[in-house]
Amino acid sequence: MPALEVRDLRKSFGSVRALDGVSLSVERGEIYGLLGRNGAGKTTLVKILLSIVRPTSGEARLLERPVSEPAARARVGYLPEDHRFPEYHTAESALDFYGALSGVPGAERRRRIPELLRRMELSEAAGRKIRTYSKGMKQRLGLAQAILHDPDLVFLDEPTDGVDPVGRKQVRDLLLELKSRGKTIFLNSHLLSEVEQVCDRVGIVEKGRLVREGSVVSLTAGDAFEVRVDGPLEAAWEDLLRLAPGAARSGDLLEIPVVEKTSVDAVIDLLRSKGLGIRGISVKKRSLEDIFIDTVTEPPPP
Amino acid sequence: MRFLAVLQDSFRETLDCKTFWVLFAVSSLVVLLAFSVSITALRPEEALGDIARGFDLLARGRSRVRHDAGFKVEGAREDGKGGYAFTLRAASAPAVHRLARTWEALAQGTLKKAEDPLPDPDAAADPELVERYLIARFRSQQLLRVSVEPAEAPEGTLAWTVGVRPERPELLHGAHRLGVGFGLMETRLGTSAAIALAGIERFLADVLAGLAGLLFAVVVTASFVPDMLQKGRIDVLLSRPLGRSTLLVYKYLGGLLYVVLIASYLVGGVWLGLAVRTGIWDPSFLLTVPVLTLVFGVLYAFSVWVGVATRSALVAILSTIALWFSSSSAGSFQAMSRAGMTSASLPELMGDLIAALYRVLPRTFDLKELNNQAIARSHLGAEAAATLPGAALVDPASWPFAVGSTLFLLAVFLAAACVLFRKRDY
Repeated sequence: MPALEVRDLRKSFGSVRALDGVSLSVERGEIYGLLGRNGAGKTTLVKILLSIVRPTSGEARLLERPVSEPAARARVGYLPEDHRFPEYHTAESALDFYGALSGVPGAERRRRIPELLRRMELSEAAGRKIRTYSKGMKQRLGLAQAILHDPDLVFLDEPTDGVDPVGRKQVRDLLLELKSRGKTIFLNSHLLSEVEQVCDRVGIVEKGRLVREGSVVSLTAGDAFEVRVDGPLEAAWEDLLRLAPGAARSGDLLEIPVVEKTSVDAVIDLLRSKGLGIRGISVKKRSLEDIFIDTVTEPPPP
Repeated sequence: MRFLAVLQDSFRETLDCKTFWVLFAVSSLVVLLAFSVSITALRPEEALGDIARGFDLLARGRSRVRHDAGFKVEGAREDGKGGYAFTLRAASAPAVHRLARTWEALAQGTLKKAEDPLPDPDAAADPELVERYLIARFRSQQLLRVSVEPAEAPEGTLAWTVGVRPERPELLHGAHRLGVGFGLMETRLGTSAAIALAGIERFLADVLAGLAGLLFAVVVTASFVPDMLQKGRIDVLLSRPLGRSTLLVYKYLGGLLYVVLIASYLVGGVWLGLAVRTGIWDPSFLLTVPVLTLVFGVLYAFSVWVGVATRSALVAILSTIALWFSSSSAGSFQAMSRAGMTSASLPELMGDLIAALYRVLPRTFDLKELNNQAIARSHLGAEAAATLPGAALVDPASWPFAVGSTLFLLAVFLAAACVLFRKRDY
């Protein structure tokens, strides 16, 4: 059973359609990244899933329960974008408060909170009021409250916002650790390189619609090979174009579009028969950023 | 567990407010003052001596002058007709002359202010003028049928044989001296200790806790809900496995707890202090805690509703104060109207409008008056309490309706807030 399931979800704010029939499903143990431009509807989708915003129509379930049931959120953690913790709390008391609200027993909270504070490098500031914290510290505290109750499904909205590069690496490690423990993570982020590093699957939302979805591997899979050749290509060029009509060259670099895998073998054989050396072969991958930009700048479907 | 967590959170939020600490400090001061109060019974001679010592001071408006005449009462005895006879002595004749002449000059308008110099400061006053001065001063203390005759006195001093009859027997017989600050400030009370205590407690219940305390509480708690609804903060709360109505009701109870605690501290502390110091252990004053809680409860429920609707602490504060003022004014007008104390020139439409408001608004005025009555009745007995000013403004039998209708409105406001909170997107 999926950890999260959404069917034909729609939300309008007055005349503005924030979500326009989104359907998606996230399997347990998966890290799913939701990408989209500002205002595309990413945060609205997450807020509907957490019952912070009511949908206009459609169906959404978390861990097999309708999102309208408070119990659906019992095993769910959430780090909102631009979160704001009450400044009269210390990190310790805030975690204790949110833990109690999530139903974590007192003894468990007393054990988990110091552990999490240590993990988030907040132990020294644990007794200080939150109003004295830097943005990065608040972000780490936000992450701590999201996972304090050991949820099965975690929603993270821009989790590395305001976090330095070392901190980002720690966040990535944390996400991978959660995944290794079978947790499901739903990630909203603008940092596409990070999404690419940790997510199993991504969805791209544009103007309230899920316009593209797939595994990171399949989306970024290469559609060409790059071959570095030792020697002049001119002698083999005409034969090469017959074998791989879309081939292009730049100096000693030869780019061969993949139509069939066998065409690569044939090209290599040709090059060797012409006395040219092969210095390297690599698959030419597309970055998630390229995919994202191509997707959101494509003209909308009719 | 979740309920306790929200209560604890509200408590933390309260402790973070500077206003709370101001209220706590003021309450502590009042409790300390209660522990410093003393009410001691006076013999008639002591009561008359207290009165006579006040003749040294002459005041007109804000201007005042003191001439130390050293008035003293000797040999006070009952005259058998409800009055007292005694010898009044003044240690300084010149001071008495100046007092009498200043008093006359002020009365005639030849002096504008009490401290203005007399034309001939050392001139002696006519003995009749001195007698008139003394009679007037005794009468100003509600001592009627005053007779003053000169008596023999050593050189440089004066003496008179005086007869007085008090307007009410307890003015002299059963009078008390009220001391505050462990005797630092003392004043004579022409009342029984029970009346004095009832007066102090009513003042505290009515003005200090019932007005200033509640106002502070409304201001402090009005920001609780709008702050909770701030973007980024409400998201984290709503993502917990807790229904929205439950969350809001818990938050409401957290604010209410704050008032229960501070009201219990203030009222309980004052009650204990006064009881320890006076030996009168009348528990009626403690009724103020549930009454204040109920009045605050309905105001806070309204404040929560406005807070959910507008997300503005300022609007919540102003609206709640407006509701409080309207309900108190309508209640007061209705009570005075029933007692025939309203102006006949008031347009009928206005009267009907206020009466309609009284019916639909919380009974804050009635609850306040009923609490005052309960304190007075418990200290003085029903008959004596009924003679106090304002005793007939609210029917003592209206307790159940006042409490019931206020509780009903509290539930309506809170339910409206919950419905709105459940519908909103954040």
